[in-house]
Amino acid sequence: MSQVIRIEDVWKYYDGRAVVKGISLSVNKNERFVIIGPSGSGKSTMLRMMNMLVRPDKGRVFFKDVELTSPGVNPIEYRKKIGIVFQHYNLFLHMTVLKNVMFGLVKVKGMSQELAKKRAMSALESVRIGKNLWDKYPSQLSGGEQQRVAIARALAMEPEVMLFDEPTSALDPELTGEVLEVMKELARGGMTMVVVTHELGFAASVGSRIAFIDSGELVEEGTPKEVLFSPKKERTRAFLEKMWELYKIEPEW
Amino acid sequence: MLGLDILMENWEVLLKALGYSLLVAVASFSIGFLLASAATVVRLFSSFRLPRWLVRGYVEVFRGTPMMVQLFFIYYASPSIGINLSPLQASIVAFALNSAAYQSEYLRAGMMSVPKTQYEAAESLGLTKWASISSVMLPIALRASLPSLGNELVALFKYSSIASFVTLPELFYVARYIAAGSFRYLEMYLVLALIYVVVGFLLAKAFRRVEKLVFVPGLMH
Amino acid sequence: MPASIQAFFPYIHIIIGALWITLSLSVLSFALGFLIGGALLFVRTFSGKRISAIVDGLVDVLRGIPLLVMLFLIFYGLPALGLQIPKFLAAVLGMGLLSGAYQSQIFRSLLQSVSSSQYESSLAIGLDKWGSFRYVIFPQVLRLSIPALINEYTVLLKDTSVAYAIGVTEMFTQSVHVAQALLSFTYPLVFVSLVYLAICFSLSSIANSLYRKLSYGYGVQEYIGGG
Repeated sequence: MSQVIRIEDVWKYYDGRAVVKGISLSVNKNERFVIIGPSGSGKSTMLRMMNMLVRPDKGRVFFKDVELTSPGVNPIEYRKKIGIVFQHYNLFLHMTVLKNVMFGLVKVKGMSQELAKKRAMSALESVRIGKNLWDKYPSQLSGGEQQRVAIARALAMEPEVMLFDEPTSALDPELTGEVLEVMKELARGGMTMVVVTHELGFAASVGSRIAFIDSGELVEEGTPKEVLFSPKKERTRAFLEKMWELYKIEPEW
Repeated sequence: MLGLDILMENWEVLLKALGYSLLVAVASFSIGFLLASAATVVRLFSSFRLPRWLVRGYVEVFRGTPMMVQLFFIYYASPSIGINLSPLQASIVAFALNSAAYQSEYLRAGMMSVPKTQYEAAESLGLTKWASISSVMLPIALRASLPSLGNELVALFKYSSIASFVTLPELFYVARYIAAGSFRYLEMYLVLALIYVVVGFLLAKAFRRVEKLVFVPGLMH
Repeated sequence: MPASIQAFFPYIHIIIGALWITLSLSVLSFALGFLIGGALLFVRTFSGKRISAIVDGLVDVLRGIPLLVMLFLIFYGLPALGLQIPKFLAAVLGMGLLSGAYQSQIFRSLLQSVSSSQYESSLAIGLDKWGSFRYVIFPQVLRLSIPALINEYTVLLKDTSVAYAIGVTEMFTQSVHVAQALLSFTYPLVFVSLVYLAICFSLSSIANSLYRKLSYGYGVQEYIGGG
C-alpha cells in the first residue's frame, strides 16, 4: 500500500507550550483515517501540518515521497493536491457559490473560466447543491449547504487526499446528516480521507483506521473495532466513556 | 434674489473652478487610495519590522499635523531642496499624501474585520501569500471600508478649498475674487457654501452607488 | 538653500508664544461644539419625527460646508448684516458650529448603541423621560463617546491652522510669519509640525487606551467615531 501522507515526530509550540508533542503517523491510499480526541488536544493543529498551513517547529512532513518540510520544497505547490474542509466552512464571503468553487481552478490551476465553470458545476452537483444556489452568497445558505459547497470547492481541485477538520461541529444537529452523507459517498468512491471528528458513529462505520490523540500525543491507533470498542489505554477508555454518555450510547464493554 | 445673480453672472468661472476642486479631490483620493493599499499591506503583512515602522510613522505624522502645514510645506518649502511644483501639482501631492494616511487607517480597520480563516482558506487551495491577500483579503476589507472611504472623498473635496492658499484657482479662490470685486461678501459666500453642500452631497451619493454596485449580502450592513 | 537652523532659534518663542491662542481657540470651539451637539441630541431624543428630520438635515448641511468657507462667511459675510465679529470670536463661532454638527453625529451613533432596554428599565423604575435621559441614557452615551470626542478635539486642534485665513495669530500663522522673515519655510514648518504632533499623538494614545477600556463589555463596533 502506498503512503499518501506521513508525518514524523512533529512538534508545535504556541507561546512556549507544546500543543503537538512528537506525533508520527502515516495515511495510506484509499484509507479513511479518523482522528478523535478531546477539544484542544492538538488534533486540528496536527491536521493543518499535513498541508503545511501550520509549519511544524520540529519533525518532518511527507506528501507521497516529497518532504514538504525540506527547505528546498515550496509547500504551496502541493496544497492543491491536498484538499481541506474547515469546521466553519470558510467559504469566500465576497464570492458566489459558483465563484467559490471556480476560484482555485482559475487562480491556482490556471484553468479557463469556461472549463473551470464546467468543473465547478459538476463538483457542486456531486455534493447535491442545486442550480438555484449557484449564484447565492455564502451568507444566504444554511450551514449544511455551506459545508457541502466547501467540500465541492476542495473536490474540484481533484486532490489526492482530503482533510476534514471537524466538518460537522459547527452545524445544527439536523444538518449534520447531509454533510456526513456526502462524506460517506466520497469514501465509497475511494477517496483518501483524514477526518478529525467527534462523530463516533461516522468513525465506526466509515473509518478504516482510528487514532486517539490527547494533550498533543498519539495515545492509541488501530482499526475502529480495536480503538472504539476495546481500547487498550485507560485515557482512550475514559474519553470514549464520556463521549458515549454524551451521545447516549451504551459502551459495549 | 439673494446671490442668484452672482451665480448667473459668474457661472462659467465658477464651473471651471469647481472643476479644479473636483480634480484635486478625485485625483488625490485615487492616488491616496493606491498608496494606502500598499501601506496597509506592508503594515499588516510585511515580515520585516523596519517597513512596518516606517509606514506606521508616516501615518502618525500625516494624521498628527494639520493639512495646512503639509500643503505649505510641499508648496513653499520643497523648492529649497530643488523640487518645484505647480499649485495644482503641489495640492494633489499634499492631499494625496495626507489622504493616504487616513485611508490606510480605514483599510486597516477593514482588514482587521476580515476573519483570518478567509486567508487560511485561500492558502489551503494553494494560493500564494500575495494572491491570498490581493484576491481574498483586500476585496472583503475594501467593501467593509467603503463607507469611510466615501466620507474621505467628501472631506477632501471640502478641504480642497485651502488649495487657494497656494494660488490654485479652485472654487474658494475664485469666489473670494468675485466677492472682493463686487463687495457682496455675504451673498457670495452663502452661494459658495451652497455649492459645496450640494456637490458634496452628490459626490456622496455617487459613492453610495459604487457601494451598491459591489454589494454582497452578509458582508456590509 | 534653507537658512541655517541657528538663524531660526531666536524665532522659536514667537511660535511657542502663539501656542496658547491655538489651545484656547481649540478648547473654546470644542466647548461650543459640545453644547450644540448635546442640545441637538436632546432635541432629537425628545421631539417627533419631523423635528428630528429637520435637525438631521441641518446637521448634514453644516457638515457639508468647508471650515474655510464658514470662517469667511462669519468674518467677511456677517458685517453686511451689521454684525462685525472680531477674528478670534469669529473663528470660535465657525469652528464651534461645525464641531457641533460633528459632535451631534458622534452622540447620535452612540445613542443607538445604548440599548433601548436601558431606557425601558429606567422608565420601569419610575423615572420620567427627562430623568431617564439625564441619569441613564446621557451618562452612558457620554462615557462611550469620550474617545471619539478626544479625537474630535485633535481635529479641531489641527483645524485652528485654517484660522490663518482670517488673520488669527495662532501657532501656524506665526510660523508662516517667521518663515517669511527668515525667507525659509523649512524649519518653522518642521518645528510647528512637531508641536502639533506631540499634542495629537499623546491625545490619541489616551483615546486609544480609553477606547479599549470603555468598549469592554459594551460590544461597540471597532470604528465608531473614527475621524
